[in-house]
Amino acid sequence: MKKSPFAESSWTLASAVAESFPEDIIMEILLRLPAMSLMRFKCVCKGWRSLISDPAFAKSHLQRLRAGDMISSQRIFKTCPFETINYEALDGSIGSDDDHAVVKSHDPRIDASSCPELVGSCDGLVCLSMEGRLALNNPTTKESRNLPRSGLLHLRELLQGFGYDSQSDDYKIVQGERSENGQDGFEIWQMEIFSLKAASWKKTQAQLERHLSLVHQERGVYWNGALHWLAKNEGKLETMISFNLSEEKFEQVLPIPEVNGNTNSMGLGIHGANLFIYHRPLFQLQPMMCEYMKGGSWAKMFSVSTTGMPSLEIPVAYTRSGKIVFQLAADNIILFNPEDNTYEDYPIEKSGNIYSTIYVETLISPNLSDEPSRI
Amino acid sequence: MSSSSSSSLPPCPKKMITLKSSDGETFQIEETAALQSKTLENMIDENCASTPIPLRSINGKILAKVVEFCNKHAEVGVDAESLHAWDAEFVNVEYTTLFDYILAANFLEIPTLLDLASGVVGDMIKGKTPDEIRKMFNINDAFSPEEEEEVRRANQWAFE
Repeated sequence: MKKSPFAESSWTLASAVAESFPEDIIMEILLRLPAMSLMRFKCVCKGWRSLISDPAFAKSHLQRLRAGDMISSQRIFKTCPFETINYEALDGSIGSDDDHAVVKSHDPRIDASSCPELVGSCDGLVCLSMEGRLALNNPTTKESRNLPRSGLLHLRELLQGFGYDSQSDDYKIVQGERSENGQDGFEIWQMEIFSLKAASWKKTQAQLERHLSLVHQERGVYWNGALHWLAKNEGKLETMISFNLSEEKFEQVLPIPEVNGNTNSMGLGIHGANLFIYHRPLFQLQPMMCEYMKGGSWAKMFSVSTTGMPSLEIPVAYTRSGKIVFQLAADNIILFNPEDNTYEDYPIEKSGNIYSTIYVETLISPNLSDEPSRI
Repeated sequence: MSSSSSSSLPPCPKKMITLKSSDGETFQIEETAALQSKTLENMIDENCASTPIPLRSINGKILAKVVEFCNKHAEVGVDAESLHAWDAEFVNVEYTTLFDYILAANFLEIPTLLDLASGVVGDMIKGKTPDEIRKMFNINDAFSPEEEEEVRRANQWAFE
């Protein structure tokens, strides 16, 4: 190739963006983009569309998110009707005209007006339940999938959860029902596990120590390969149990942080890559405490006085500026500022009992398959 | 300090290797700095680095910057904050130059540089429209207008 010294810059340009711009370089760049940008860039050309649509690309993209703090890709998903909320964008801009922070997320395959319950959230997929029918939805790609019914009926002591099993590289939905007393101080739970890869349910049994009982049965919170619930030990609230999605058994009772009397551990949640637990005081004058799991022990996340606020607050998200998004009872979401104890209503729609959860913006498809990939 | 053994050792000569760019410029780089490149590391391990290493896909202007980057990242005692500031300055260039950095980092397998330059390009393009992207990347295998309309409709919400 002939070139004059004066053409240095244009030569550089030509060398960089020549037709041969290798696909793995494009991939290096695209892997670092937010999932929403990638959805838009499917329109750039056929090559980009097929790369971005590849399940292996979606997986690499997720792994890169996991290697970071994930917080910048986290959003809130709420039901009834479905909306996604960019809570960082909303922080400080509630009421401004141009906010695209709350986006309606209608899915024709799921009847949003029926106000489904939320089973769980993992890797950008949310699992919903409508009168016993389950569906998976990715609010970022808008893909969804209805799942076949299981055999278990909704009976007492039903637990549910949704998460990822790294050993089989599969997503699983777990339902369990306490059935009978077993040997040696254990009780038997009848479990049903749906494998996304196999697209079918299977039955199994799991043992749980009899002196443990779940506090808020229903939904387990997915974190680190297992579903987590708060539990009572001999009737006292002091522990957390988990269901390992690879081993498919209850295990490891994690201690919960000690707090000085007069508080209730209320629930669990996810912030970034961390599991957090929140306690609510029995008396309104005491602060609400929130701690997160850090290297096998608990560390303080925030402690706020919620005096004067309606009760039944569930912390959903914690913003960079230190504000907290609370869901109040079953019909309102607010942004709480601990600095001056004020709060603002979120500009959301509500047509009944809402559920909300954190999810990560990913390209992971609910239609998981074992199809060979080109990457 | 009880021993004089350290002073009795001969000064360890810095091992240098020579890189040759596509346009014939040569660059000296310390072996310790060159080890950040997996490609060069393999050549050093196989004793192929005693003669100037020809890098036919990297021109002198870019190779000079890559050598500068490796030297800086091989310096001892640089705190994370000032290195971060140095990196930010290093990638404060035209995107076409960033593309060249990415190509060079990919060829030489320098993960730190690949990560840095790809991340900056990512930040640059994440808010752009498909049209702007096509211009930037000189992409010609675009959709037909009908196809584009269809893909766009299927992903309409991403444009709102």
